[in-house]
Parts: sequence; structure tokens; C-alpha cells
Amino acid sequence: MCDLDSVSDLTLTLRMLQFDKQVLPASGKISTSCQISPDGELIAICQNTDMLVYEISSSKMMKLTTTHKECINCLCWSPDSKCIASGSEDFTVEITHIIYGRIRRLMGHTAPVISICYNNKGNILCSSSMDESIKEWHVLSGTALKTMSAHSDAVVSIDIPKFDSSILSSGSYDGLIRIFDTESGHCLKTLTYDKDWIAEDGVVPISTVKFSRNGKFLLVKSLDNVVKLWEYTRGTVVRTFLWPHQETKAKLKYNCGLELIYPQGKDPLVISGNDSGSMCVWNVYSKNLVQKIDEKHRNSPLISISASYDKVATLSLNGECNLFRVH
Amino acid sequence: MANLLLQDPFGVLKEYPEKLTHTLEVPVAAVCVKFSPRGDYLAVGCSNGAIIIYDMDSLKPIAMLGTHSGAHTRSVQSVCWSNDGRYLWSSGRDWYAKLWDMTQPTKCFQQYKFDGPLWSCHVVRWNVCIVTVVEEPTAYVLTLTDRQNAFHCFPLLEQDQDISGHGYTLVACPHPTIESIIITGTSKGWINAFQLDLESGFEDKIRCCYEEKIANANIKQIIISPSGTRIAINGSDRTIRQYQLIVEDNESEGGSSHSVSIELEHKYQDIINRLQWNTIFFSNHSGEYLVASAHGSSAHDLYLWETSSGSLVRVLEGADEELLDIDWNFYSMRIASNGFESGWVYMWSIVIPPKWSALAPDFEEVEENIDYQEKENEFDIMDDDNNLQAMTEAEEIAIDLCTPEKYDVRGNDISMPSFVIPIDYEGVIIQQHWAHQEQ
Repeated sequence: MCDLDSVSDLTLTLRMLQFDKQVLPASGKISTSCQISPDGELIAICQNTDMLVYEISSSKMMKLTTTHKECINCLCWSPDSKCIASGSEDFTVEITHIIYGRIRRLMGHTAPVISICYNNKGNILCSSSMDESIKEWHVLSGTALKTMSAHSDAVVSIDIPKFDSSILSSGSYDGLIRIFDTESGHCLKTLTYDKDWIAEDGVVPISTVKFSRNGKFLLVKSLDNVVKLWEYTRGTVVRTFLWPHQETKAKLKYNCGLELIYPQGKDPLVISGNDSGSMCVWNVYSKNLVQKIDEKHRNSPLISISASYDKVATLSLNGECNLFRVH
Repeated sequence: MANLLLQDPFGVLKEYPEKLTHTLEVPVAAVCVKFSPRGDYLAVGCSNGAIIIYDMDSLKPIAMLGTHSGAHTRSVQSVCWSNDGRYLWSSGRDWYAKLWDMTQPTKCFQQYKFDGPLWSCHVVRWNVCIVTVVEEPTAYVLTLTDRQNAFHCFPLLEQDQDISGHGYTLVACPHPTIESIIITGTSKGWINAFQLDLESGFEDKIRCCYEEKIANANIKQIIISPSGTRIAINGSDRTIRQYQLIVEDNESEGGSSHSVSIELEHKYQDIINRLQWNTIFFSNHSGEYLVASAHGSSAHDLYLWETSSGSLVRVLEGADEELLDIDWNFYSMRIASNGFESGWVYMWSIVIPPKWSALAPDFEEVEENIDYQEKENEFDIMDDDNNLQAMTEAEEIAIDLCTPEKYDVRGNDISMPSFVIPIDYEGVIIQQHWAHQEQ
């Protein structure tokens, strides 16, 4: 791995991410998620129980209200970029059409909803919760199709490959990464860092899971601020990304964002944030650190990173949202 | 897809579904069923003219065709998807053949009226379809050459060909690998093979490359295995005749011309009950299995034969009524069939039992107890250096995050993304409004 300080001049010229504009200044309201729509046109940001939708081309901001009683934890765009699903601290999930307004209110979880994702058709929504379960919902009828309970702590992140809805990955505070069959609901595979449970202070909680574009690899971030790329069919780690100059045992309080970027004609990049508002960008294939961004989101933990095409949106806990472009 | 990679390979690679797993209680009696090419949707044609598209992930309807305009007004006799899953053709007893574009399922995209009720439609390309019509001596080719234009329709017949003794053409079947070849069957037991010129599409270019009378009965159905090497013909004389299909390509001046011949392999008959067969269907590749539904109220099962030996290998049970149409999708490995009395759709699938060892990464399921033998180095304390080296090596292999898999575990082509039917949000809004008013 290349040392950043010695190449700091170089990185300026090799810069991958360029700051474009500030979407939202620090507000002090609780913002935990920003998501770029799959078509790359809009950014959705949650603020307490509301959602702000920012049109990138015109810089216009639109506000969508929800009927959530408590703060929104997570957002997810439908694959057709027409609806936003929101998971809340009040145990419910809502689906809001950006023109028609609220479409569905999904009730069934018994604890705050932490993570949600759509299947590739956009007709099934999955949600994971502090109640340790994952639920599948049918969007058109608003009914729960199945519940998958296989974790022993909060399930904080779930993901479905973009072109293959047959599997779902989940990451939990119990330190396990599981792959489920979305059709049968059965657990197909379990990945873990610490097979023998030998770490002195318990397992390392998982904070984010994210499939590669082709669905063959799974990128995983844990609360010790280590990012690993798994070839999940074989159950092996094929790349590890370590934060530069980090003491051996970092402990993050938040997931601090994780995203994969696919610049045209170049190697894919991993972008990950930390609790002081810095972001690191690595080349996935070579593991080289190609950029470190410290000057934005100063002193507020990064909370969400989302990419679509050449655009990357970042959000820190104080509500500041920035837009970057990939070069 | 990726779930198949992680399941028990012996379960995944079973050659036919065995268990009735789902029953779709279709509100209107189903007449015909057809899976979308990738098996993620099921089109159900109904007796009142409705066509309902079921989503196979949620097993719930996702679209009803023609709710705004252009639905069939009489029973839908057959439905057929285009290869990319975007278009659907349908033929009805209301004399219409219709083409549906799934980007706008509520409206009929194009339609064509014949001079009588239609039997069946078979897609050759998304814009070319072979249609058979009641009491017509020939099948018809329906093409949509330009998106703006209406249909162009012409009979499937070689110029000056004499078919006076053939009776009416009842069924057709396009060749699965050579798309210019169409095989048809008539009410007097004649089998014809035609070669079409799809590029120019003109009537005078049709060539008949095979004609023979194979039975003294109606030809009810013709099917060809996906590899194009086997053909089976279901006749009203209670016999399924299975042939080897040989298509030879003769290069000649003015393009290639094909010659078609068939060689009898087996005949399937129900000797005891003398039942007719309603529908037949081949399994994947060279059609190693043949499945059929039997006519008459006494038979409630699907029969599955091995085609190389002609022996019955499986009876698919579970439906308590006579079964009509059959469709078998090789991506999802499901067989769907509709019941005669209830009009419901039954589906048989491969059931793979959950692996409990998948929940704990260090466990392994064994068939029986194994006498434990400690390996020489099993509990050796590994050098940290060695460990590190092994890990570094694992992290140096080349990886690719972008290129998708071309084939699934069963060998089906998955390189083309499957078409996704858009979600009808307006429908959801109306539903919500009703629910709101009831409160």
C-alpha cells in the first residue's frame, strides 16, 4: 500500500473525485442518509421525518413529508427512480412516490428499521431492523411476504445485487455476514472474520455490506473501520483496505459510509468515510490509496455515501451534503 | 443465478421439477400459460379474454393487459413472448391477434383481425408471428415491418403449391435454432415444413421443404426440443409420435435452402385407458424428457417420459383435476399447467432443502458419523508470518467486479438482462384510495 504523505503532491494530479458543489449546508437536524437516484438525476436526503429531493441539474430542492413519527434512518430509491422508501426509528417503512406522494406504509417490525433495499424489478422491498430480522414486502399490495430471522443482533445493512435478485446479503452487529435466498428465505452462506470467536473484546460488528456490480463480490465494512472484499461463493477475502496511519483498534460509532464507484474505462474504486469526516478512496484491484479527502465535512462523522454513474454524494451527521464528480 | 451457486449442486442440477409447490388461484379461468423467457413472469390467458401477468418472485399479479383499451373480448387461445421478454403476442376467439408492448401493458400495441377465431400464435421474432386460424387451409405469417405501419399478413404457402387434400392447418411450430423454418400440421394428418425469407419477408419467397401425411387424425400440437434435434407430434388418434428432426443446409445459388426430414423414434400411447393427450412439452437441450397432460376427467397428473428409452419416469401429482396447457421454464426449472375445472394454475418446482451448516461457517453436514482422525498438522500453531503470507497471496489474485456471468449453473444464457415490467403506481394509488374510504 502506498503511503499517502509521500505522494501527496502526486495525488493532486491523480485525483479521482473532484468537489462539484455543496448540496446542503450543515443544518443541525438529524440526517442519516443521502441517496442518489439510479438514473443519476436526483439526490434524496432525510432530515428528521422529512425527505429533501435535490435535482442535480437545476440545483432545485423539493421537500417531501412523511407520516413517520420519529426520525428516518435509511432511504432507498426504487430502480425506476420514481419512489423513495424510508425506514424509520418508529419501526415502520414508507414508500413515497416523488409525484403522487405516499404509496405504502409497511408495519411489522418491532424495533427501528436500519436498512432497506429494493429488488431489481422494484416490486419487492426488503428491510432490516434492530429486531434482528429481515422482512420482504410486496410493494403493490403492501403485504409482508416473508421474514428471515437468522441473526442474534441488530441487522444494520442489507443489499441485493443490481442484476440478480435471487440473493440478499446482510451484515449484523453479531459480527456475521449472511447470504440469503430471496425466494425460499433460507440462509445459503455465512461469512465471518472471527471464526473461532477469539477476539478478547467480543466480535467486530459489521456496519455495511455492498455487492459489486456483477454480483460476484461483496464489500464489507466493520466498525473497526476495516473494509474487506469477499468472494462470497468461496468464502475468502480477496482484498483488504486499511485506513492509513490508523491505530490498531479503531472503533467507529457510525457506519461512516461505504460505496463502490465504477469510473468509465478505469478500475473500480472504493470510497469509505470515518468519524472525523475524512474519506479515503482506494483502487479496488491494486489496493492503492488514490485519494484522501479531509477538507469537507470537517469534524462531523460521515454517515452516508452514495454513487451513481459519475456522481458521488456524501453526507455528514450535521446535515451537510456535498456532491463530487468522478474523473 | 447466484443463489444456485450456493445451493446443493445435486439439488440444483435435477433435470425436472418433482413437487407441486404453488397454486395460483386465478380469478378468471385460465386457458393458456406461458413463462417469460427468463422465467420471471407468467402470462395467463383467460376464458373471458383477459391476460394476466403474474410476477414469479412474489407470485402475485403485476399487470393485466389492455385495462385501458384493446383487450380480447373472447377466450384467449394462446400467448407467446418475444425472446427479450418485452413483447407478448396473443390470439383469441374474438378473431384478433394482438401484440403487446410490456412498457405499456394497459394498451394494446398492435392488432390484426382475421376471418375467424384463432387457434394459436408462435413468435419467430418479436415482430414476426405465425398464426393458425379456424377452418383455414394455411397458417398465416403476421409481420410488423415498420413500427408506424400496421401488420402485413400473408398465408404460409409456397406459390402454386397444391394442398387441396391437406385439410385445415391447425398448429404451427417455428424451429428453435433456425428461425426461417416453420413446421405446420393439418386436420388430415399432414406435416409441412416451410422456409421463410425473414429479411425480405415476401410471400413469393416461401418454399415448402417437407410434406408428408403421418396419421389419419388431427394434428393437435407440434413441439421441437430447444436444440432443434427432436420433434414430437400430438395427434387426436391418442398417440404422441416422437421423431428425430434432421435439417440439412444446402448451399445453393441465391442463398441457402434447407431440407427437412424426420425419423420415428417412439410412439407414446395410453394403452389401458386410451386417453388423448391435451398438451405435450420437451425438456431443455435435446429434449431428454417429454411431459404431457392427459385428456379426460380421470387423469389428474402430468406424465413424464424419458425420450431416449420411451419409458415413463415420473408422474407429477398434486392437482385434483384434468390439466390442459403446459409450459416448462428452464431458468427457474418450473412447470406450470392450468386446471380444466377450477381454471387455476399449478406449478411444480425443484425443492432444495435448507442446509443448516450454512448458518455456521465451521460446520459441515455429514450423512453418517465419521470416526474422527486428527490430521498431522491440524492443531499446529501457525506462524504469524505464514498466515500473513497466505493472506497476502489470496489478495493478489486478479478479480473483476464488473463483468457479469454469461451462463447460470444450469447452462442457460443470462448475458442479456431480462426485461422488467414497469410498476403500475397509479393502480396502487387507486387501491389506497379505496382502502382509505372504507375506513
